[in-house]
Amino acid sequence: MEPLALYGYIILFAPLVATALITCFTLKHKAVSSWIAIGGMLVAFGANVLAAMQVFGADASFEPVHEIEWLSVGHVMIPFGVQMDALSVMMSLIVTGVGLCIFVFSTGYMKGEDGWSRYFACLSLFSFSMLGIVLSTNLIQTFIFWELVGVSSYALIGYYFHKDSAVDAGKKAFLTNRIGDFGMTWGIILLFYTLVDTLGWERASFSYEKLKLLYHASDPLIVQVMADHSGTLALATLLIFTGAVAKSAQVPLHVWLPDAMEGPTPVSALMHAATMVAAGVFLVCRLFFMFAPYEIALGVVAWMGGITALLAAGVAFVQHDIKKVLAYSTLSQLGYMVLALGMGAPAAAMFHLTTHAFFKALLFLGSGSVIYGCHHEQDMRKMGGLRKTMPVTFWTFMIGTAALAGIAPFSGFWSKDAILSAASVGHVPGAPILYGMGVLVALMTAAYMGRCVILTFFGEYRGHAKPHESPVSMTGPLVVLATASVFAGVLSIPKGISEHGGWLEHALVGATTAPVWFPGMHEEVFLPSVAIVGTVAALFGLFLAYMFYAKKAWSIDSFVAAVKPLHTLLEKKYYFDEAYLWLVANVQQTIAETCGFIEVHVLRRIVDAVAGTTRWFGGQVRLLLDGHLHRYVTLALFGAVVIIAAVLVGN
Amino acid sequence: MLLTLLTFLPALGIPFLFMTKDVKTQRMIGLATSAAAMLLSIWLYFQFDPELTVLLADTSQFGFSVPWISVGDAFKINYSMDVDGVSMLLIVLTGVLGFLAAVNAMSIQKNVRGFYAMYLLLLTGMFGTFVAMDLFLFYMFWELMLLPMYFLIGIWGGPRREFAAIKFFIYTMVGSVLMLGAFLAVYFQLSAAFAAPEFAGQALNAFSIPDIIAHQSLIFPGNDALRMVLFVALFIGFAIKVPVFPFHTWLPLAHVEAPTPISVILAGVLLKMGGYGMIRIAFPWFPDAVVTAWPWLATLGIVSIIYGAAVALAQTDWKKMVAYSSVSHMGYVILGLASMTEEGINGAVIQMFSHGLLSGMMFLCVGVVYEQAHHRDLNRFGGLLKLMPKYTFVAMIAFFGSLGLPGLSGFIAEMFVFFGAFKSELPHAKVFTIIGTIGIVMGAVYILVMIQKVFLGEPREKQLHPFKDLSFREGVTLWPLAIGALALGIFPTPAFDLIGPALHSWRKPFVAEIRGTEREAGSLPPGLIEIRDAVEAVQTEEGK
Repeated sequence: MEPLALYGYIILFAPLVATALITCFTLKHKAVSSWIAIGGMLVAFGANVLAAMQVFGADASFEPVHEIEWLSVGHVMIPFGVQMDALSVMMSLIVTGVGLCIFVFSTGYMKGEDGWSRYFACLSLFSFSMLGIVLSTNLIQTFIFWELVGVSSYALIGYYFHKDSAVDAGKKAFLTNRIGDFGMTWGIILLFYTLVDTLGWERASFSYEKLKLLYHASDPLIVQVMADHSGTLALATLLIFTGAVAKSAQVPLHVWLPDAMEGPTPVSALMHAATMVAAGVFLVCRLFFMFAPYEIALGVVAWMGGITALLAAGVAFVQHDIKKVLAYSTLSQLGYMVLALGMGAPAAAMFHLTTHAFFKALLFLGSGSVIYGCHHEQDMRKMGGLRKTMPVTFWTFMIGTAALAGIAPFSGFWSKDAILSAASVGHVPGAPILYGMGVLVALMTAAYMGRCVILTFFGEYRGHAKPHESPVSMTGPLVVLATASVFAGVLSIPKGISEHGGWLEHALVGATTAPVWFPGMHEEVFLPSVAIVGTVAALFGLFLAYMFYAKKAWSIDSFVAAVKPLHTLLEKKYYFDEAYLWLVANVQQTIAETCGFIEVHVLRRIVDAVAGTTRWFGGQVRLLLDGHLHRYVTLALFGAVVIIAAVLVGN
Repeated sequence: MLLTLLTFLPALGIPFLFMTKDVKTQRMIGLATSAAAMLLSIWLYFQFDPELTVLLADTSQFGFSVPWISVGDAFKINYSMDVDGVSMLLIVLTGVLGFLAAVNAMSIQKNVRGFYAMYLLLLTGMFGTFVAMDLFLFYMFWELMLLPMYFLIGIWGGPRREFAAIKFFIYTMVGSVLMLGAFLAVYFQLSAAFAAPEFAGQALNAFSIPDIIAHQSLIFPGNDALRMVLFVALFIGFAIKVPVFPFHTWLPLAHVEAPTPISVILAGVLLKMGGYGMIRIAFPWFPDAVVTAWPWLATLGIVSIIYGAAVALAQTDWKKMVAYSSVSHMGYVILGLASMTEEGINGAVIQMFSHGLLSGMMFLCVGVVYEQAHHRDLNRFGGLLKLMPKYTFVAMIAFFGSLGLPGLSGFIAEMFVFFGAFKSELPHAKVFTIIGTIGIVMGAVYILVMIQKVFLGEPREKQLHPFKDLSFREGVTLWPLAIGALALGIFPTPAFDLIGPALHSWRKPFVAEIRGTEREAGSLPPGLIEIRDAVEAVQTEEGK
């Protein structure tokens, strides 16, 4: 085994070993449990750095895929292994790096909570599952870890299991993701067996590298077959995409994400910044070669992303819970990434995913610090003026906000710009509209983040409990993440600005697509007009927030009164939850109750009727057979006559 | 002779039960006997070579056949037994569950001697059914299971035990009668056919299951209608045991009333008799009928999957919910078997084994709580995670396994069933499979709702005696199954290696039948079929 593959297995299994150790041995020893979990993550991170040095190093001669046969039935062979290319190493670096910060932060935030060891065991299991998706070499392995992420997120979201709302949120997350997985199952089966039926067992495979060869084949036979079945293959691709829709919380399967804020704040940071929700975007990057040939697939992806970005940004305005604002902001930013994917710019999506992982983890942990400092108060209406009492939290939060709003030179500016410039030259149907939506979302993002910061940190303190700054175990990770949020942009400053720019994009080209560019694929360039439009939008958004909330020059109440129906629509989150609740309460419950009714009143009746008939028949026969010989003789004679008559008639 | 030993080893313990009056010693006898049977079954597994797939051949490892009862020349019953990979897997399952249920049964107080006598007799019946290769012998063991089960439910069961026992008995009896009728028809037809001069000197026996399978085309050749009738009779006979919708209504009642160890055996092993009977008897005797009946079989499979899940969701009795989950899970077995693809049938058999482990665990889990709470009302629990953390941990393995979580056994089985059903060349296979996959989501719904009601939240009722966490004995029964479910989920290859060769040769007549039907229907030009067959034959050879 090459060292690179070995690093891969270490990255993957270190968190699992931590989970196993905690579960088996140290459930009663809190401190040891958290150190084991952090140790596991540290080992994974270390191996990851070594792997990154090799993959991104000057000497690029390495074998990215290491696979073994896991299971083989008939002709179906399911491999297991690690894929260590630029895409997965980059992604796992984010997962382990940001994860490490969150693990450390948790030791401060979770102080005094019950089930400390359980928390760290679940956190490690979650990281293992996520790394499994990232390093996976094939569709089945991805699906397996995809589901494991689902179950470990269920455990983490429902961490406060005595609270019904937390349990409901966990269940909702799991079931919504199951619906996505349902589509994904279909996509995988359809893809695999279409290839089997057309190209035979030899060529069909679950492995990404082998699939990529088929999509990029030069053999005219394969090209012809792939073209003949492009409709089916595009359908399979979109079905697999439903899995990503659920995990990356795109409309209409986004409903679980805001509720998932019921989990502890570090969990929100882990899931909604660096890991779970990023999995969908990552998967599309990994499978981008399957999306690229089909304009319809790209169009669906782009529109789904654009719509999600816009809808979620709207809802963020009317939230009072600081974590909920961030949750809807996450939805919106994920929509951004998906929009970039649909525009044929997976590198831009990965770039934004990376910067977003840093600044959103920073913002979530910052909000966690605020919540901790305000004695578990989450309502922004009961905060205010915290910049004086929590200076470190304040400054780091400001950096995160600037990055999220897309103010140059913070990292978010560069990645947002990459997405907007991709959208401005995109090819999918309605691309100009999507570009307009993207700019609008940039404005809205700046505005709602401005509102959030002003309400939390400026003005007068409106709460009751005395706020205080958080301990070093919490502010430390904040500083680390803030630094990353400032500088992560250098990963891919566009070529037009810096000579060494576009590094990330360049590194990812081989991993996300073939070495050739597809017609729908957009090569990133720096467009000054887009940068100006984006910056103006963001500044205008901040200006609006300032006028409404800080200076109070314009009255927010009269504005709300003017757009009452829209405000209600946003407050009700477009009635998605109501619609789903109606479906569950009416459709699902009706089916269950109908089947229950059939069970009790139809099937049992039939069985009882059969039994009753038998009994009745037995009773009648008993009346006949009453022991009188003459009746038997009569019956026998009668029978004989019938038989003879039958025979005669038959002849 | 090892198979005879395995079969009658449990029964050997019965006389010892009657030599002592001491209840504890009786328990020890029951336990030791079932432990010996388990060890023997595991030992057999390690000795077994799965590549030997021809039953009752000279090469077979454990197989043998000796004349037993003969009436003149016409009526020859052999005492013959053999195993292939499929029955070996189920024998191991029987051995393990048989022992674990016996451990669980140590809490039984009422008439311990009688209980273990019946229980050991039941074990003998189950092993016998899995190894019998003679129709008469098979039927005898089949009925032998029925009687002890009747008493075990009827005497040691819950409040409505007698009604449940009678319902179980009559239902199963109806199945047996249908089966017996078909057996006799086949026997008389084949014994006449085997008398033909061309078979002289081949010593064919119309009671021998392998002989019947090898010459199934001689059963009323050309009379498709009659063959279909016989297949349907056999299918219903076994479907009642599986149970397949709509023949399942005995199951919830029997489960609810049966004591915990008997529920474990009932769900874990007895339900497998149905699937086993289809694999060993109903399907290979009438491959043409199976292919014709595919749309019906697939429909019954997916209706069982979805209907079972929906009814499970509507239950308030925890044990009933678990019982209906069995209906849902066994639907996968029917769908997979009927698909007649390598993936589908392997998945179906693994699903049988996996369901044995997981449903056994689930019933044990329900039993642990029931013994303390004395009720099973889902709306009256809550917060068990806080009160019984160890118990919750192992219970989660069972319930998430049942939900089809990757890493546990159920996932592998369901995945291959869907692969196989989708790939099947039979008509509308893709439509059936799409509908069937709805079961994935529905399964998650009822399991999660149950977990929320029982394990999470706050306790809804004050308990007279506070719940005690998993005792040592309960741990001993649950953990081996949990480890088995994990092992099968993570390293499934040994199980597939065990059943693969047997199922590979089992499938051949069906494939021939499907291809033949295609040829008749003209769905593919004749030349193409031959080319495809030739290509596949070459591929298969290369694959070896």
